[in-house]
Formats: sequence, C-alpha cells, structure tokens
Amino acid sequence: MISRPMQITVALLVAAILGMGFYALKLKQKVETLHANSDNRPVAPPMTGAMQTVTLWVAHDDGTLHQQQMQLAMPDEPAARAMRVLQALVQIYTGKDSPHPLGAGSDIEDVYLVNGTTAVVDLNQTFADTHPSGIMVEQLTIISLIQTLTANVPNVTRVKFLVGGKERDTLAGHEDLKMTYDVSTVSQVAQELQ
Amino acid sequence: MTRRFRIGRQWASRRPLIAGTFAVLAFLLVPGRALAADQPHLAIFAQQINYLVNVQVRDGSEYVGLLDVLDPLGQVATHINGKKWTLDFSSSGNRVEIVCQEGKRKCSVRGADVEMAAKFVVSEGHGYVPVSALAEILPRITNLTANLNVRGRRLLLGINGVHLSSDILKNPSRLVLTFPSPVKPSVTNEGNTLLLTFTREPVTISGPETTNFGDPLITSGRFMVVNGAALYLVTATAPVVTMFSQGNRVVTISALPPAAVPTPAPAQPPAKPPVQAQPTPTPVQPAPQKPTAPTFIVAIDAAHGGTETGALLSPTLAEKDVTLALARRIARELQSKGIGVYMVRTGDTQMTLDQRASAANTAHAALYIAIHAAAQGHGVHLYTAMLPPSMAVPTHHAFVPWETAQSAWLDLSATAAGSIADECNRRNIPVRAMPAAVRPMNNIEGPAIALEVATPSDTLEDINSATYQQSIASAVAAGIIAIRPKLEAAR
Repeated sequence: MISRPMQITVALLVAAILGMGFYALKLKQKVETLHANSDNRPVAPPMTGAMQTVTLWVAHDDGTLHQQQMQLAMPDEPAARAMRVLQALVQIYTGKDSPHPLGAGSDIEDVYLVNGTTAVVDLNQTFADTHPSGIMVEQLTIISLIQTLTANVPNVTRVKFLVGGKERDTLAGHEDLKMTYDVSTVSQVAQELQ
Repeated sequence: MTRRFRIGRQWASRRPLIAGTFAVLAFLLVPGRALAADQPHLAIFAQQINYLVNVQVRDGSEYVGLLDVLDPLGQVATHINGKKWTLDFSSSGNRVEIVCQEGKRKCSVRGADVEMAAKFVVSEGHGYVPVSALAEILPRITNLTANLNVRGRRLLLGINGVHLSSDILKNPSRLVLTFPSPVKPSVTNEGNTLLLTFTREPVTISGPETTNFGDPLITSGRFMVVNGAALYLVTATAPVVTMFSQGNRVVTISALPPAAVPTPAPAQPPAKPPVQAQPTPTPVQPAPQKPTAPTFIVAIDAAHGGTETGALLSPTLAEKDVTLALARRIARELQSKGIGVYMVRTGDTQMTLDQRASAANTAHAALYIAIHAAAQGHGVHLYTAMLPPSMAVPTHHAFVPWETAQSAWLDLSATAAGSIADECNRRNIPVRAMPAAVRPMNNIEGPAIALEVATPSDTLEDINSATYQQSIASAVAAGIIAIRPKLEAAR
C-alpha cells in the first residue's frame, strides 16, 4: 500500500513533467516560427554611384513581362551595374506582393563580363533549388533577367547562366541552362511576352 | 553420395546452357550494347501496339503495375477504398472491372477469382500484380490469348509472333534465318560469336532453343528471350558477317570475306562474278544496325519520370504522372487515326535529356512532341526551340551539331505548333505558342515542339480531367494530320 504523501508527491512530479514538456514544445514552436519568418537573404554590400533611372523587365505570372522604371545608385563598372540591376529585380521577386514569386534567399552570386559582350550570371543555389517548376514560369525568370541586364549594359550580346558557380542542365527541370543565350533572339521572345 | 552424383550429372547436362548464358551476359555487359543491363521491364506485343512496362522486384517476386499494362490497350480508371483497389477497363465498348485487395493472393476479374503466385501490392495508389499473373488476368480482361514468357519478361497478346526458322547450307558454309515478315535486329559481333537482338519484333522459335549444326564454320545457334528482347546467338569457328535480303525477311550469316579480315591474308585470285541473277544480299558491317527511316512516326515524350518528378502540381499530383497520362491519350488518338507512335517513355522511368533526344532521333520521327504540365496559367502552351536565327540554316549533312540539331527544322516545327494551336482554338482550348529554351528540343534532328498543359479552370485537379485531356489529344492529332503532307515531304 502506497502512503498518501507518496501518492501526492508522485502526482506532483507527473504534473511537473507534463508541464515542462508542454513548455518545451511551446519553446520549440516559437523558435521554428522565428526561423520561418527570418529573412535569410544575404546582405548586399552598399553600392556607390550616382542615382540613375534604370529599366527593369519584371515578369508576371500571368505570362507577361512589364517594363518598370526605378531609381538606383548605379556604379560605373559594367559588371557591377549588371549585378546591381539584377539584384534589384530579384528583390522584387522575393519581396512582398511579388508578381512572380521566387524562394526566399534567391539571389545573384556574381556577374562576369567576358570581352564586354558575353555576360556570365551566377545564380545562387537557393535561386535554382526553390524556383517554381514549369516551362513558362522558368522562361519568364530567365528572359526578365536577360532583358534587364541588356537594358542597362547595352553591349552584351550573349548571356550564360551558372548556379553556385557550376553549369546546370535546367533551372528547375525545364529552362535550358546549358546553352548560351543569344540576346537578340531572347529580345524577340520578350516582345511577344509584353 | 547418390545425391551428389545426381547433382553432378545435372550440371554436366546443363553445361552448354550455362556457357550460352554467360556468353549472352558477356555481350550485354559490354558498354554500348543494345540491351544493356538496364532496368528490368516487360515487353508487351499486341496487335496495334508494342510497349514496355517497368518491372519491380518485391519480396523476391517480379511485379508490374496493372495500370501501366492496361492503359495503352484502352480507357482505364482506378479507385481505392481502404485496401480494396478497383480498376475499370473499357475498350471497344466492353467494360471490365478488376477488384483486388492489398495483401491478398487473388483478384476478381469479371466476377471470377484469379489466383496469383504472390500478394497484390498497392504503392502510391498504383496496384501491382506478379508478372506471372498476367497470363491468367489479361485473357479474361481483353478476350485475347496471352503467351507469357515470365523468365524472358515478354508477353504476346493476341498475336502469334514472328517465327524464326534456321537452315544450314554448305559450300560455302552459311546459316540462313528466315522470317515471315521483315525484321530489323541489331547485330553485334564479338570474336567468333554473333548476336542478333530483336527488340521490335516478337520473334519466336519452334523446337529446341539450341541447335548444334555440326558445320565446320557455324557450330551452333541459340535462341532466348532476355528482358523482353529475343536474342539469337551464333557461335562460329571464325569471324562471321550478317547479310539481309528479300526485304529483310532472310538473314544470312557467313564467313567474313577475305578482304574484310583485318589480319594480312595471302593474295587471292579475283573472284568470279555471280552467275545466278538472284536478289543480291546487302552486306552488313559487324556493328549495331542503324534502323531505316520508317514511313510516318510521331515520337511522344512524356517529360520527367522516376525520381525526377517534375513540378509538384499539388501535394498528390506530380507532373510526371500527368505527362504520361496525356502522352498515352495522344498516342491512342494518333493510332486510331492510323499514325504510328513511338513513346519515348512508356512507364515511370527516369531518362536523361540526352537519352530522350537520342531515342527520338533514332526513331526517325516525323515529329517530336515533349509533353509537360504546369501549375501556372490555363490551357495549352506550345513551344518551339529558341535558337538564334543566324544558325537556322537548313542542312542535311550526315553529321549535325548536337547543340543546334534543331536549327534546320525551326520553320517546320513552328508550322506544326501553329497547326496544333489552330485545332486547340477550334476546340476553345486557350492556347499560346512561342519559342522557348526547353531541353532537349535543340538536340532533335527533325520537327520538334513542346506542349505544356495547364488546368482549364481555376481548379488544379481539372488538369487530369479525361474530357479535357481527350480534347487536347484530339487537337494534337488533328493538327498533325493537317500538316502530314509537309512533314512527310521533309523526310
């Protein structure tokens, strides 16, 4: 026979264990919520340069492209200019009320110019890994990036995409990333999408 | 002791069988061979259609999906209620219900039970039966005879096959294989052995599988069915070559001509011209035979497959399943209009983009259609390759650059897309056509388009609607028929 004080002690201990468990669960949920809401986009270094009006080609998920003017501090160096406008475009896509939502953390790693005419755009891994899958949705992203780049760095005639510094077959299962894009061909398609 | 002795005798009697099996395996394991030891599949040869179905091994038994087996033969719908899995199959106005219970060794077909060698399995909504059960199940469903080779994974449904008969002739020694209809095997030489691989024709043989000819050159011939393909292995004492004649109905295997022997040979007197005015057999080099161009075939490529699911259209709907369902529907529609179809992917298999392009190019298709599905937008999007105009110069050279093989065909591809778009418009299907950089279209050496289907309404699940998909299939078939003369002229 268990004495009454012992029964009370056990009951209190059980209640304490349950209470602690519940508290731990709530703490876990709180941490997960904080992680989900945190902005894990990389912090871009501050850009210097005169404020200029630039044109961005913004994709909309109804299958259209729209030209949008924006005031940005633009550097003089062409590769840095390309990087600046592409990052501004991606910020629209990853921002609130995006017309063409991309995954949080999507960004441009770097832009290189080869002989001043071929641009190599290095997307970060998150950009490709979280990109929505589909011919149209992937095509809109790539064309808007190319059009935005060439609208602000006019001498570029060819564009090649890398993901995390490496070649990749497709963006998200459809859009060809192995090929080097011919800017004039892309421009013709972009006109159809306007 | 007695038992050991009996086992020893069994091994001795099976020595030729084992040696033959090892010889075939040696052929298959050499890189680049036609039937590389790839994923196991069941080859089904029916009256109108030949296709492959993936085979899965579960608990030591080989299984196939009933949906994969029956879908090319008619209209199929499945339902799951707890452990009860039901499949409705209809073809030519006849409707059959197959009811199976997960974990049970029997299924009910037309109300009668069919016993199976292993349990019925349900996985991701698909019902799987042991391969051996098809011999009982299919005749009850289709009312057709089923000749099933379980070990060779080949099923002849309602057909007798192409019968092979062999005859050894002397002076000079040659083996003559005769078929009732044209055959196009791939030919592989390895030393003094030669392997004919028949993947397109359901070749059969009567009598023993191994024949010892007692000939000084050609010693034996062995027939077998491996992973759905019929193989004929010829063993000789010297290198042999293959010749096709009489419209590919006769295959003659004889000694390699002296001039073709790589080692130096003593000078021979000039050969006398042939006296008999018989049809001259065409010599074939000892290399895989390139298929000849067929009359009019449309290659349909259901995008994605296997672990590469494509877009996740909804939590339960993967792009790979929608593309395969629509591809099969388009294939049926084309076949009903008398157009040959080559399905690049017939089951839930994973293929690289280069493999898809290579398969379509080898089939010499008059048109290649890649089928995709998307969660965004409505209706149908038709795409042609996005290649620079400066590279779009028509060329008909033997070799074309892989990355721009589509260049010469851009105009015809656009014509095909336009014709299908017109038919979609006639059926009130929202449609849009434009260029896009979608692999592997750039690598297709012939007219090529990609068709991306999206839901017709605001409900994503409607993308799988039978009525909607049938309407698209009908538009595709009508669009192709409308430009068939142009496609044929381009071949």
